[in-house]
Amino acid sequence: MTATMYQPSRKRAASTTRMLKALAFLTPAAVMILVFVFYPVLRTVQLGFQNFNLFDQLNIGYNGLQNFRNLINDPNFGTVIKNTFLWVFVSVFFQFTIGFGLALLMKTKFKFIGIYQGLIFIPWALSGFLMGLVWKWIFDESFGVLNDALLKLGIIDSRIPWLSDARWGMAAVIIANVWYGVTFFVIMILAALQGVPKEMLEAAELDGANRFQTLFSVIIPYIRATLILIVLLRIMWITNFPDLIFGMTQGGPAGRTHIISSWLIEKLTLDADWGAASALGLMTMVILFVFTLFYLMATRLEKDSGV
Amino acid sequence: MSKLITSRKAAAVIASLAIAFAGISATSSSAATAKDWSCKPTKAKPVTVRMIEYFAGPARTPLLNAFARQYEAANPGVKIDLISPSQADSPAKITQLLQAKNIDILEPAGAIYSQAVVAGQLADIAPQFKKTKAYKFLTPYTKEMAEQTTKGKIYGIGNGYYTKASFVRADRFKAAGLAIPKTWQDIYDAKKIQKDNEYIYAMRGAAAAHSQAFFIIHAYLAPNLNVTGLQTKDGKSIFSTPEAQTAMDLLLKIWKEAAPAASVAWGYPEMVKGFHTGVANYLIQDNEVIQIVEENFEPYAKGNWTMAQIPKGPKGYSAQFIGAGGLWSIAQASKCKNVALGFLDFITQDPQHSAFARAYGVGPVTTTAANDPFFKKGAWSIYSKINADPKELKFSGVRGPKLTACYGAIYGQLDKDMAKLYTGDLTTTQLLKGWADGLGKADCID
Repeated sequence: MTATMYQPSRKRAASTTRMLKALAFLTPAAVMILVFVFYPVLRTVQLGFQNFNLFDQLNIGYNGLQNFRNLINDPNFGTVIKNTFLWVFVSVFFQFTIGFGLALLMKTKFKFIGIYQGLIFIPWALSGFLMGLVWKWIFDESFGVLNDALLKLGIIDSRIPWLSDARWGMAAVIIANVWYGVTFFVIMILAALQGVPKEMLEAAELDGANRFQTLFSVIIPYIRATLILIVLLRIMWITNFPDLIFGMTQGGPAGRTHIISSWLIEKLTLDADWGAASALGLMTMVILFVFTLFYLMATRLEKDSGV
Repeated sequence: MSKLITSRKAAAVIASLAIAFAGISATSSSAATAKDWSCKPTKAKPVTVRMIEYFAGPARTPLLNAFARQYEAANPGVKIDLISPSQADSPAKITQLLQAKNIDILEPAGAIYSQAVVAGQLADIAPQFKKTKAYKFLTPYTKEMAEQTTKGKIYGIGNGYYTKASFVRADRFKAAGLAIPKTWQDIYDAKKIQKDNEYIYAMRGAAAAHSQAFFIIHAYLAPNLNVTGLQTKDGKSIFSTPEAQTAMDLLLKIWKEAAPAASVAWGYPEMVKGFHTGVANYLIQDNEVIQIVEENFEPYAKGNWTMAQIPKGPKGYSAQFIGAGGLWSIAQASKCKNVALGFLDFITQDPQHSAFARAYGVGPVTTTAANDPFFKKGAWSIYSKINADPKELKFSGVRGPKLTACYGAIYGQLDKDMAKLYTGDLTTTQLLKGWADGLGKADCID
């Protein structure tokens, strides 16, 4: 009797111990997330509705939706939204296309493939801002290697003001971003390609499918879920990736190469307007939330289709 | 030499203007407690003084660190922690540290000074500073600058003076058979000698771009300027005059036709590099650039580059704002102001200050250093010429609280407007109207 009464009690004690242990392990991570994720988010929400300019510290206080109104009425707003759209979709299109091609090449075994893979992966290991500075030098009108090379090859007869002309500026930062982001797609697509069963490819070959048919009818459908996920992930990341732009143009000339996240940094640093920067951050969150919905819907569709 | 004080990167003008706020601030010394001024650091109970510089760079940061180590060695228990952000990051970093009340000594250039004084974030150090050894040896002008319009309060100790002069590639002009430009029109006309990647003017299009507009507008209006430097003698805004319109139209032409297109993104380092690499042959900059050009191009004595006065207008005049280029302040939130002031006293004394002025190439603030022949010969001799020229007007950077507030509010916008002017988003007329509304209105002038 004593034993039967004792057993549940021991089980409870063991369960409590397990729970305490789990809590002890989880607490540091939870605290970190609370401090470094939730608190900044909540503070951003608060600041977004405040006049909080470090150069106007005597007038700090809640101002309702004024920050949002100011941003929308800012003459740069339209350009920033248009640039963000271009920055994200043009970059992702070329990153994906080139990345896919390189991943297919890297799946084929050839001499020195290790060195080749290493070179391809280098950009991903480097700081975006640092790469921005390197690309700034490459595109520099007077000192840059690109103008020098184009002049020496006879392709141009006068220097192109890549970063100081608004028409070229956006193209220059997108080119740099394409270079920087291709690696991500190579890594992810290569991993997905390596998961395609050999039997499927052999079956396609036996059925007389050529390489083109195998790619579009066998390989792509098989890795479709991965492709959808990485494209959506990349869209979210690129929206929040001002590093290259800040390194190359700081959004200039006259704000013509700003995207939403680089504009946010300008509001925060140059203008010291934390209220406007926070409001812009909240707007970005809403935009990304829409993308997240697409992301979730896409993954759900893939799950339902049983792929 | 000390009278040649000029704003640096235009930001310094604001710093000087802001001194005026001292007179109306009601929060400084009264709020300072005796406890803040009586720390007694010991080895057992050390005190760390956090110090941030605005104009960090290889010529001055190592020297400041060396001073810090010397001071620490002589004062056990004191630790000087120097923070040296890049100049692009300085404004944000300094304002953030002030806001967080996490800094003792700061170099509040740009619009920071005025805002910090208004917000009561800087301590009035007058009573304690006047008792220091450093104060005794300051040049009379430095003392005057420290207290002018502040009703006896001192919110900053000058650490060097900056004077604008022209750096000119004499060899290039000589080879082309052209005299060195003396006027803004000469600069524009010199575009005929431009070659591939060799332009005339090192235009500033990024931070402090508006300083370029001020130079040319002043040159075109002078001597019809009143003491504010922002109004004509009859009290009209300088930005709403026909001369300003002519001047800005010419500046835009110079920018578009006689300067590299890339200069729209040129700040201080880019324009200096543009000069010493030969991309631009005419540069208006401060005295510390002498050393940079000597190190990166060639010594002044070789004669391939020379110094000239800043370009004049049609009536033969030019003008500069006069103010301390850099200064050290003590944060009101500092818990050990006496220790912070102790270190400032140390670095403002000679031989420390003299070494700093020589190494960084700024005009000295102490009488001993000011009499050093080093600052009177070679490239430096231009400053004596500038000082003696009655047709190069020098305006006091010290302004009243109203103008300081207007300037602080519009400061960031001025540079953005310059970039918009270049890209065609603003016309010179629209730009001048905006500036007249922002800086020229009656309630901006004290």
